[in-house]
Amino acid sequence: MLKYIFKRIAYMALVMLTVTTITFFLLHLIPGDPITAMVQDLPEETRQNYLAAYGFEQPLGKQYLLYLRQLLTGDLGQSLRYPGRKVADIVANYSPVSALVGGIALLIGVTLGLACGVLAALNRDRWPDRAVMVLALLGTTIPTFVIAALLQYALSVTWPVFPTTGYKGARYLVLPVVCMCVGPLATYARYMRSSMLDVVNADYILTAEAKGLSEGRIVMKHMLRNSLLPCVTMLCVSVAGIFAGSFIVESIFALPGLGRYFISAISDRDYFVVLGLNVVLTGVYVCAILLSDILLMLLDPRIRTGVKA
Amino acid sequence: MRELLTVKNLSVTFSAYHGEVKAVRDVSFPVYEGETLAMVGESGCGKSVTAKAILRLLDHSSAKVSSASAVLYKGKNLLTLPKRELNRIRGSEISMVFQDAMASLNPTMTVGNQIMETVRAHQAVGKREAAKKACELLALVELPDPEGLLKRYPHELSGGQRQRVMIAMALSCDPKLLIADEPTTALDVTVQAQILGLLLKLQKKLNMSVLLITHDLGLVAGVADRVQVMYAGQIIERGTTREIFQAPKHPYTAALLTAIPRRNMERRQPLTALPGTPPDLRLELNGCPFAARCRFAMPICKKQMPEETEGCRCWLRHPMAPKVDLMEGDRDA
Amino acid sequence: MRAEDFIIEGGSPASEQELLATKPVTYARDAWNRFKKNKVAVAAAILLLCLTLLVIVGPMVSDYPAAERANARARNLAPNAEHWFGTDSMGRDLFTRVCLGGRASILIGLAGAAIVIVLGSFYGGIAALLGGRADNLMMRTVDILSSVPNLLVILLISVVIDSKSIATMIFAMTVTGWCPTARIVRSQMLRISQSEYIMAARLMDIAPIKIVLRHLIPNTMSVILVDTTFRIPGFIFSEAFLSYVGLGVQPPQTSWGALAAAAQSMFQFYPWQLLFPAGGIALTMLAFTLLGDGLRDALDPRLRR
Repeated sequence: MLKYIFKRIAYMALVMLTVTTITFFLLHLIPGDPITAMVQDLPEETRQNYLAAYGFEQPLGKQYLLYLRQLLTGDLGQSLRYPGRKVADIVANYSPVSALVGGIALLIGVTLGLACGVLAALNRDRWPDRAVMVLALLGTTIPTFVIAALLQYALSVTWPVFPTTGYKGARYLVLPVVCMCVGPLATYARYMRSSMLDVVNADYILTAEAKGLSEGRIVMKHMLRNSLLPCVTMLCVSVAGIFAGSFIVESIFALPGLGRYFISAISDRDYFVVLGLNVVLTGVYVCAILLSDILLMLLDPRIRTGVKA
Repeated sequence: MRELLTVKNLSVTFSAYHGEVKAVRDVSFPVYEGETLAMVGESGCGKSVTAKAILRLLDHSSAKVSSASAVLYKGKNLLTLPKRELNRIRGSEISMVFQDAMASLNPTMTVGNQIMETVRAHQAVGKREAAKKACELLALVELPDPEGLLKRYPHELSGGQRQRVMIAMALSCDPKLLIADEPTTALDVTVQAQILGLLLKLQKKLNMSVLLITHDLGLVAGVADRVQVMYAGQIIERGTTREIFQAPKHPYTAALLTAIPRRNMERRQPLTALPGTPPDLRLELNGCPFAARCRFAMPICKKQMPEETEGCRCWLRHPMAPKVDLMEGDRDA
Repeated sequence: MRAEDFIIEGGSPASEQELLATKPVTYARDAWNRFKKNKVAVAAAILLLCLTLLVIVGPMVSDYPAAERANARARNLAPNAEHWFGTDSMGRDLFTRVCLGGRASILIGLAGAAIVIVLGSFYGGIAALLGGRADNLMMRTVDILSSVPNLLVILLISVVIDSKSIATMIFAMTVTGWCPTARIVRSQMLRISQSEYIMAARLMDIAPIKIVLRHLIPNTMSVILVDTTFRIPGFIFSEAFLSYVGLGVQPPQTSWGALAAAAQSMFQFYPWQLLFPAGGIALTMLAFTLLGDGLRDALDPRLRR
């Protein structure tokens, strides 16, 4: 089991290295140097100074190695546009907002979504099932920005219950949270329903019925656990996603989150920030996948003993 | 002998993609106390559906049990019993063993928990006592190291071991009736014999009735007290095992018997195979469903289904019918 | 009851009633019959056809390209008889714009899905056929590529290539987008090639190429077809997202996402400017999703949900 985990970690490191390498060389493929790309009419002398300061005059291979060494020491680099602003600080400053809004939204969305999925599966082909499926379908097909716009229009323009944009307190979070939980709600409802239906039709449920177990016990002890297992991976990826924030919701509601910052770094051509954030977000994502593997191993005896053998 | 359970006029239809499938057509039979009743027939004849219908285990969204049907047990109709009372009988007084033990055990629960769960569903006992009972049960079905087994998962056991676990689970509350739905079909022949032997032994020990569902008539010979043969959703012949094996009355039963390889057969004598397939169960059957495959079919067979006489539904039993030797050809050899 | 009724004549095993019940149907015909029965899926298909026709024919009806020209006197008009969907902030006819945007969006969806499916099918198919170490290596590569968050790839590529044409966007979206398809195709092919009927075909000494053509490819097609219908709305959605954050289709070209983005800030005053393109996105996605569900049910009835 430990060997398995080590193997996964080594694999994860390989993924990180590949992603970092690809991102690094991609960004350096951009014609011209980053300084010129940002500020066009810089005096030649200043430009050279800058280039030297950031090590851009060195050969690409050496830059790459330097960057890797820098990463290994835990330094994610700093902004070109705003000198002195470190990527690590950006993450520290902006991700809590993303995590807060995204976390609440995910919690609500996943809980309701799973509940809806279970409800639908247990009432297959009857009205609760149909209602849930129609809502889930709408939830996955209506773009977030439309939901955001409608929410703003209804609840802050027509009836000014909640503020439109900004981040000055709990009331400001309501609309973004509602907006962001629609997606997970719909996705998890659909997924849980189909996973649950697999279990409902399984032979061991028939055994449980034949044993004379009550319906409640069958649902709680036999169906829920087994149908939640396939959701674990998806859940871990969703949790990783909340740190990246929602690009769209954060910009519509003007929340100072990481997602919005990422977009602005891209339009600012602040390459080192893009690179650094990319490394961080990929890292979180890869960790989440590792976590889901370990969790699944702990929760599913079939995988656990399979690994042992 | 006293009747333990009576199935009366059981009819089950399934709504399938291509139409209504009439899987069980007006089947009635008793199960006596302490006996082994074997229900034999080829796949799709409705034997499994009948077994599941007794405990109301059919998927209610696709299967419909006709309102005229009844399953009487201790004066109560199981088909109309409130869910709560039904659950008190399921698993304790009437329990069931299924064909595929791997799929029938919950893969994410330990063997011990699955047995203890059954015990605790019907008896007011604590965890420790239930564990002790589970251990005894595993020992009862002759599994080695019962204590260690409690903590194992189904996929860690062999096929025979899993089926023993299923039996232990079914026996956990000393049932009056055990329904065994093809309990040995998924197993190796040597293991089949072991499991069957175990079932018989336990039946004597616990004095319960067994309803054995199987497609293998050969299996039944040494095991069952009575046999009933199903074809196309109907019971076409029933009798004691001795009657059925020595003097089958229905051509279908006779054909099944001649299809069993025997020790006293000539070398290179071909096994007799029955031509054709059972009828499509979506159709309304007017005549005898077996007529199309029957060597002895008569014009009347295609027009009307005969009533049961002396445990057999066949026009050959009619006084006007010619006398034939059903086992003819087979005996010549 | 007469004596003639009791003359033994023997049965004929393949009687007419049996033949009647087992009329042979080909797989394709059977799937098509099932699909036809699914009213929702048929409705979705019709809706898709209508939408496609609308975006093709729409601009012709509305006297394009005149309607596309800016018109200072007709800015931000509400929907009326002349401008069915109203006009935008530059006085352009919104109906025409939505149709043109729809062309771009649907085109991107179709092209993206086509590329991804072709690439993924070949990659997955080759990996499955090669097997062994080659397969292992190929699938590890896919694992690594798909470990990179999809959105980050798209954003990065758009930044790096720094040209915002439709082609660039499709490239950015498909560069790692083929990975899931490759996985699906590979696992389906492996599953089929390990099935017993392939074993039977091998034992009967049927040429491998025939097995591939006769069994592997047709049985994988259904999976690919279903995957395609689910990928198209994904691309339309990604396009909308990219255009929304300003990395997508650039003026004077437009797409549903771009139109929606432009309308977002003025939503409180001119809601229809957002609702029409957004409705386009939602309807198309809905139709493709329902169609995909229907196709899956029709092609693989065992998976029916």
